Amino acid sequence: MELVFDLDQDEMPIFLAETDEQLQVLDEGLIRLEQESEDIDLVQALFRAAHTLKGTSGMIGHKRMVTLTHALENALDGVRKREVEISTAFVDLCLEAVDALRLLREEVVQRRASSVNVEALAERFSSLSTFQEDKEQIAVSMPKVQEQAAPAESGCSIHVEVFIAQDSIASAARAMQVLMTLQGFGEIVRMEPSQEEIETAKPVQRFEAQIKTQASIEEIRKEIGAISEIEKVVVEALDGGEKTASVPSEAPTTIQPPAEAVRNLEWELGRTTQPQAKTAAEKTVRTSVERLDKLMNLVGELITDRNRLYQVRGSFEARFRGDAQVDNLSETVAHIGRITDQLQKEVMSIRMLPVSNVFHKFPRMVRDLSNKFGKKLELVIEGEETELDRSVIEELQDPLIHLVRNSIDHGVETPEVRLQNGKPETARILMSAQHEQGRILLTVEDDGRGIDVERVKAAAVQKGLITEAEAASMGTSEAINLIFMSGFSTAKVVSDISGRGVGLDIVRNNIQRLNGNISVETWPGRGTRFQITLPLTLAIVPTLLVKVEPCIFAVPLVTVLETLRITQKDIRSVNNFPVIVLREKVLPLLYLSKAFGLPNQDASAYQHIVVVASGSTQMGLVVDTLLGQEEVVVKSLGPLVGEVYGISSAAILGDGQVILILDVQDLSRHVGAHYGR
Amino acid sequence: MAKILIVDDAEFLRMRISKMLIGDGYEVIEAENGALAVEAYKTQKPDVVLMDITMPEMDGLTALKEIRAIDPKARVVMLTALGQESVVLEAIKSGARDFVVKPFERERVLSAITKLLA
Repeated sequence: MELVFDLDQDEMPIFLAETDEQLQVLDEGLIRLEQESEDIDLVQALFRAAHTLKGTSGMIGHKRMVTLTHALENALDGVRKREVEISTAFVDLCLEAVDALRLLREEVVQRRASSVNVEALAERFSSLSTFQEDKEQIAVSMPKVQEQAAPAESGCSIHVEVFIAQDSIASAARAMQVLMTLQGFGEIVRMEPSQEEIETAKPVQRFEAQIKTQASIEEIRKEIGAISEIEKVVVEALDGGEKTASVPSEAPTTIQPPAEAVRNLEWELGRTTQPQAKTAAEKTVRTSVERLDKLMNLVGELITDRNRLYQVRGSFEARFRGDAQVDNLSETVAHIGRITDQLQKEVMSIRMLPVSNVFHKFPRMVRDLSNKFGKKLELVIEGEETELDRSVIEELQDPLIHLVRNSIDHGVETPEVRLQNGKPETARILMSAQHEQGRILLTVEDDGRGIDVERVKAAAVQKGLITEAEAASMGTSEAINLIFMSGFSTAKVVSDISGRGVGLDIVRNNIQRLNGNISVETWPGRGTRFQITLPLTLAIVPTLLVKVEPCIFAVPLVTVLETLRITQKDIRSVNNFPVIVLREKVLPLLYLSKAFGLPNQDASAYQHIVVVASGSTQMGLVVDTLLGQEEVVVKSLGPLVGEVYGISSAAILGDGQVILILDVQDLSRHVGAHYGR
Repeated sequence: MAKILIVDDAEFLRMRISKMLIGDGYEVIEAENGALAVEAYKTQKPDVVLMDITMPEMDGLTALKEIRAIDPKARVVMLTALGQESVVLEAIKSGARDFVVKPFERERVLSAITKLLA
């Protein structure tokens, strides 16, 4: 059966985005709550999130979601009142509810009921304690609205009887409205219930008062009748004023609100204990990702044109040096260039999102996995405010999940083993992000057992990835990098944490597709660190332009380590493969002319080498000339061309020339295959 | 046409009420917390304020009091939910002119506004 919600298609994205936001707050906060149970601001923020979800789901008529968010809200209220103890079981239940809420959110999208049993979950919440529904109704009695003033002045005595709607959720507030309205007309000489009683906020169905006033019965009836949820008003004149004598004299004392009542009030208000400083208006507009992408594409085109303009300007200056018009042109071109740069920066900054968008998923994941595998883990996150282009962020999630799972599964020992080895029982996993010279560095680090090089070698031999002879002669860092080869896995049993047929090779491929790099360092018995280097954006790539007659290629700068000039006699041969020795290490060479079937490169006196790294493999690309650095706008090769060996994409240079951007990863595989690692 | 200020931290609710009011010919301004609402009240002088209670930065009750201090005639309607009885009571005492309970029906909100504008 199709579910029906009170929600338009154009309202959907806002509903979903807001719901996701609140669910994330809950997810993250609940995990923090386990450690920081005394943090009342945190409890408050969680409560607010549940409260907002309840309100929003109520607006679209999602009853099951309201039921569950209400139960969660009550549970958090219980935490605040210390009626509910924060235990692992409690957090588990709350998280279960959050998971269920995700499914209920999905119902709104799919319009099909999920399997969530809301009643059963709500039932479990209510069995947590007896706090449910009987919220203490302590009087929040502030200074009284009016004191029973002494002698009645002129005016007639009027009796007012008011009936408040049964279903009013705050009938006491309605009674208060009536009371205040009556005070506007004159002096109240008697009333039932009393103001103190009303202020306990207990439901009031009937309110009765006697006032001395100049106003007419009609006026009073009209004003009172205008108050919402008033079902019936009876206003009548009383004869004489003798009843004033029988007014029960209420002591006109001012009751101080009990501390607990004030706390209740604060709580209902969603106040945090510390006033927050930030109140300045940050005016924002929501816009679609598609628009941003379009904008970025246009900026890309503009950059291509700017580069083109630079070239045209250059040739004009060369031909008509000193011409005033040409000077004018140059100046304008320079200005357009600067503006284009600024525009690019601005547009890029709009597209930037903090890494926390990916990182925030991890506390929950680590908690779940540590429970499941009986390992004690502490997740430390650093630099989550570091910003990255959203296209990169989106691609980052899977590789990071894999690395963290990998650390938990393979890296971290069980508590017993850790204690035996004199390590703290709780393992530490560090995820960090930082900017470094126009790149982003991401780290996933654990203090587990480290990678056993000999085991890696043995596994690689067993799987036929390398021969035993190769294994014997292989250096440590090279051997560790075997873990990135496809078909490699050292786990004896394929566990459901990391072993899903997806290995680190996929992680590396994903990262390299983002023009990034991944490397690993390990210390036996002390831990392992994976480090990912990424460009800030995918749309514009800083490259090194090189010429291999008659073509120009762009090498992504993120892969370039250094450039060298060597002479023919520096080139040696290993297994018939050209290499050079660079700082006592053997560096295989790849002639780009050979790789792409271009005319043979001249064996001139000098050769230019671009040293590049892909993963932990390094090699030297032999080129004819180095042309310099340039930021190019990436254009995909398109479906007609498809995948081409060694080429990732294309770009257009300032002079309109189409160039190809090298796929260094692809090339290094080629070298790896021939050079035989 | 009368100008209505909607104050709620939930964007979805603001959007929902905006649509409702704009459809009825009202001019609408929005604020996402109490502090911004007080600012908006000063600069834009709305005829009616619809005020959520539970909000970060500055809650609805505080904002109500501040707005009433700026303009004792301010017409503020509280947007409330179950379990907020004490706050609503306090809001009424502090000069809120009405309150509407979430999830509310279109008619309830519109009638609260028309009553106040009468």
